[in-house]
Amino acid sequence: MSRTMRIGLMLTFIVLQVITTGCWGHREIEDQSVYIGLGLDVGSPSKFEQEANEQGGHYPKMNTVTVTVQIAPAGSSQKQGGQGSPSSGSQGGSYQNQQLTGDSILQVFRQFALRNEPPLVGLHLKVVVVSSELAKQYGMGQIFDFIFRDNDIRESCLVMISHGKASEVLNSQHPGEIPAFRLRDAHRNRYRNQKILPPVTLVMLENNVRSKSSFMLQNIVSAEGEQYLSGAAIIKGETNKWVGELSEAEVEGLSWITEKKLGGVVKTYTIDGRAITYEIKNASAKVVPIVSGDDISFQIKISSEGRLIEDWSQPDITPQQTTVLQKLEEKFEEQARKQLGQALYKLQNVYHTDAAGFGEQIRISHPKVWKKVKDNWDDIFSHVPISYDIKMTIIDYGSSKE
Amino acid sequence: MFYIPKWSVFVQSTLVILIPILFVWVSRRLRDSIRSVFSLHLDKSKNVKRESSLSEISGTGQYDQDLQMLQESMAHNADVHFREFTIRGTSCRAVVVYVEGLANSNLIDSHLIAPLMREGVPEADREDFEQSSESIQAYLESHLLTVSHLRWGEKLQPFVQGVLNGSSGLLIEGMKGFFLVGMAKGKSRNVEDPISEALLRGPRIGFTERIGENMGLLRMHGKDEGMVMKKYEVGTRVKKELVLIYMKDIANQELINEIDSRIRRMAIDDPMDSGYIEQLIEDSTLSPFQQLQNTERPDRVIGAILEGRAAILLDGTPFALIMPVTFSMLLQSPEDYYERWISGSFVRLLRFSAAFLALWAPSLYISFISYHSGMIPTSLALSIVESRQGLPFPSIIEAFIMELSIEILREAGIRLPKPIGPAMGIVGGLIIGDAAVNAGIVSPFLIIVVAVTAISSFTIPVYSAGITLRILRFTAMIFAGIFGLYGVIMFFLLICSHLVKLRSFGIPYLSPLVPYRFRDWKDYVIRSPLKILKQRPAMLNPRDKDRRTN
Repeated sequence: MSRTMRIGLMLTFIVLQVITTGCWGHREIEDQSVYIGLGLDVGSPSKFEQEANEQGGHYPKMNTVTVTVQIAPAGSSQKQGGQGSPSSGSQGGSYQNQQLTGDSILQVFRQFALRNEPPLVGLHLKVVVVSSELAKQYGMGQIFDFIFRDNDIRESCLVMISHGKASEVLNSQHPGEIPAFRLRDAHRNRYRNQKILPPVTLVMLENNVRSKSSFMLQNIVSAEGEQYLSGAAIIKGETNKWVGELSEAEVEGLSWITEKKLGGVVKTYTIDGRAITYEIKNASAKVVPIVSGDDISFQIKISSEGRLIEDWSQPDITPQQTTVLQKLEEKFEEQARKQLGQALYKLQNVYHTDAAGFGEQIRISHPKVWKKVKDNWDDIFSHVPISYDIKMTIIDYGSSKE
Repeated sequence: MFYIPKWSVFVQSTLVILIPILFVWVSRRLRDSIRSVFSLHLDKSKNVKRESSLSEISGTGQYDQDLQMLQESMAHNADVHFREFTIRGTSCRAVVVYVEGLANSNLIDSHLIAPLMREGVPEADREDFEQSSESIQAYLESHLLTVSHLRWGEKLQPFVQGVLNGSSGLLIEGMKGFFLVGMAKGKSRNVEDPISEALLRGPRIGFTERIGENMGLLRMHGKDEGMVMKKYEVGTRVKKELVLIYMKDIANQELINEIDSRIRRMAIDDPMDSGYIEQLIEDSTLSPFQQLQNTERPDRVIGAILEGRAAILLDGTPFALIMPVTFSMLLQSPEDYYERWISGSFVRLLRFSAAFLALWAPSLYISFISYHSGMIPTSLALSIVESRQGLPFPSIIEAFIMELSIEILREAGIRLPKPIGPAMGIVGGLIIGDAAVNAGIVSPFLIIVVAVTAISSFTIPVYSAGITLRILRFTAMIFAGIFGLYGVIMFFLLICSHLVKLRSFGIPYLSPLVPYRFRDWKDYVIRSPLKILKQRPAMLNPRDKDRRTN
């Protein structure tokens, strides 16, 4: 064999090494259905399923959960039809909602393959919405088991509870808007309104579920095809089930101790029933657990500075006099105290759960005590005396002149 | 009980051992075979000396016989002219032999023929003059030939070669040898702005095709008596002048010896361009990276030899070679030093990141689109999905189509006449790109990637380094198409391991990164202020380490 032939053969073998290997992991991005939102409801087969069922399209299952996936963009149908209406499940917009019912979320996902061509890919899942009905029946650990295990879904995905049906929350009336993105971005408004809870991601949820501690999730209601963040859903640690809701005002009251940075307002009324408003500029809260023997109690100290920003009273309050100012401050303090007290009352006496993280304070400052009480902390918490003191200072009156 | 793994584990582990060994063996065989094909050494067994009929003949001193001999050896060339005349005041006949178009006719007219025919030998000196062959030679040298460049020889062969190279030959009755007068005055062009390495700031001088002028340019630039210009004659058939330039008191002697020995071992019939020299004396023939840097700029050469490097000039090409080369040099431009250090460093950083883009952007695109859609930010992923709906090809084919057409456009752009070039660029770049998107062959996102890649690769100041990156880019794209990001990373490691092993004239190619020499980092990605750059790069091991001493 000549030298050139030998070199040629060697090169051929090297090239063969490359070209005989297949592109096995190869999945083009446009050949996948990217679902960005996931809604979990109590099982109720959709019209499509019922019709399919009548024609024999079914497999052995229980109707435990109805899974709604939000796929964006709406798929090839939209590209061809221009601005035409997307297929079943959604009412306009660049997304597409699809529903199937079953008793295993993964099986339902695989069942989607019978319906639309590209396989579902969870890499970009942003929001999981669980309806309160479902969360009442099943523990969060059960509902989220697959989602925790699945390695496509990112841990940064947010979790929320819908008051009504989760599939309705994932709808939007506004064309071109994707509801899942709206829900994901909602918590960014927290610096404007403290009625919004801090976001809970899958990691945090799993943490809470595994440690059997109680926690709050953002509650969403939907009205006229639009989402509205309203209050909080409370998940009891023992069962990991939904036990109730806190109203907006109660969430606002609790936010004094749960949030690090506040950006809300406090509104109260003057004696003659006119609204006056205090804008919180900064606030700091300290929850001090006091343990003496077996008795545990909490002392909450809150201090805040802010400005008097709105005043409907007639004539205007002249804040030059310190006595007037003090009176106003007392008014605001009273309002804030009322809100906080109401929230704490509900947690302690109605739901008997510590969803506001008091246990965490004990765990940090008295780890030995925490070991003893942690197994039935929710019960103990229900009877723990909590005292709170709020100090608010008005430091300016905005830029308006006399 | 011991745990004995399944047979497949054993097979896998054997493969893991065998494949690298096989790979090393194959590459070694390949390298050896290439080395033996393009050997630096002359094959001893085939070393047949060219027989020359002229080599042993020398001038006889008999005018008619010598003249006849010259005519026999040269007169068949149409461009060789013989001008016969008689020296005034004597009866000596003389003949001037020259090549038309190459010899300096001014010199022949006014400094050869004019003094000999008009002034000649005065009455008083006639006897001295006609005494012997030596006296004629001495008298001509001291009284009549008013030229600086004068050579004397008795052998015929160097004379014929000299005449054919452009000198004027002079044969005089009674003289036993030949004069070679002056040098070739072939056509040359003006000193111009270097086309391939244009700068905004800095000298606008580029080398020309004449080695004498180029040496002059260097002398003009670096007025230092330490600059050594060592002359070699290369080419086995066509002799060419090659000059090795370095700073006597800076350059490391071992480096100079190595270059010297490589130049001496080089064997080729005619080195047409310095590219021939580069390919004949480089370390690794299989490497895609250049190990000598070519430049048209005298300031670049001076800068390099002041760092302790060496340069090679070859007659007949405007491209000088600088060696040894390190990777960072290919991304540095003289302008970095002419501008202030902040802007110089910024531009240099920009160039490094552009080089990164030029190499990796398309392969990253392919692996993100085809394998790792989860790594694209969601909103971007959604718009990519939308823009890629209904595309017929997977991203690897798509990227290859566009990258290849860009390369074709670039290659075509070099050949096109100047007035058409820009128009062609617009047609190619804008119209084809736009039409390809509209026709649904490629996605608009890819057009951005390809355009950014193409523009980035133009920022690399050394053109041949740009070619290297382009070749590697295609390989990276294949890897990305087969293995995704995993393949890209493997290819990156492959390049890294190659670069770490590569040496240019004994200097590690990646220095000062590997081996790690933090002191030299002052002039690497960041160009520190000149006041800090007091030392010459230590990787070259210069004799004089301090830039400030004289």
